Amino acid sequence: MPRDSLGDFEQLVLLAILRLKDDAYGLRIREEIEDRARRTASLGTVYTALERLERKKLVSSWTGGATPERGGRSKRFFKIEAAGMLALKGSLSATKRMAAGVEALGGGLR
Amino acid sequence: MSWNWRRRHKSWNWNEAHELKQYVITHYMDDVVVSDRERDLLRIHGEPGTGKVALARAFIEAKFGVWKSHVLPRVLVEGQSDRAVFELWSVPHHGSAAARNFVLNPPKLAEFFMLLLPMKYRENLVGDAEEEYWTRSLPRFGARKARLIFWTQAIHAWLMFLARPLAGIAGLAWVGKIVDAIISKLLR
Repeated sequence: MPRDSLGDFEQLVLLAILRLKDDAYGLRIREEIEDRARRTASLGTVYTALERLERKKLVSSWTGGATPERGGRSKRFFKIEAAGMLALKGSLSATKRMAAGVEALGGGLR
Repeated sequence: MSWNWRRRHKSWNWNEAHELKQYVITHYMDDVVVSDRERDLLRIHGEPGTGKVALARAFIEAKFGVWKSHVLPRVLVEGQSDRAVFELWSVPHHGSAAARNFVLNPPKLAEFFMLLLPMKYRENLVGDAEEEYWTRSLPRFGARKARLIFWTQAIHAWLMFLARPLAGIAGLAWVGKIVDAIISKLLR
């Protein structure tokens, strides 16, 4: 596997960040994945993936404000980088290409 | 369901009602909790489906516990269109052991374990877990289950961290799967 290839959960995390725009922090990312992909994930899973993506320089992050219901702890917001967009597009199109023409999938993914 | 609670126990402790009101206000619920002293009713105003009443209920449960043998006030839920007797609350007498042992905050030990994680963003992880606890789990499930969810988040975070170095150890993947299953069942 190429070094920068994405796992399926990493793909979901990147897509969630894109969907959430300026509100992409751990809890919201997890909820977005649960709501849209119908996939349960713990916060630990999400943060492990986010740290991995940041190490690969596919996402960047910054510290947001703290609120009382967070016990005074700040949010960490994430943003997808150009390399992340490239990796995501590559990964999604690879999936599409692999699925194209597979009869069991009704001819591929739409 | 017995309604003779007035005879068996003292009525609602108004300091407790006040405390509940303060709690509700500090948690950004500007709907007022009205304590009807005349009739020993605790009324909670809230739009149906906003989770505010559930949060107040979680508070009462967490603070006083829920026991069949002791009873406190009736709680009325006033929504936009309906006004129904929500439940006859059964709670231990103020000052009992059960009441003294109440806990509303997320479990400190689980929080401590999460802060020990050698992860860059562990502080943010704990913040997210707390936010989930106060704004999602507690209103929806009550204190006991919310605390359990908080614990499973802590355990799972550690399992995720240990997953790679300990990947070869037989059975560890199963532990992770079991915790996953518990989380998804709890959140359902």
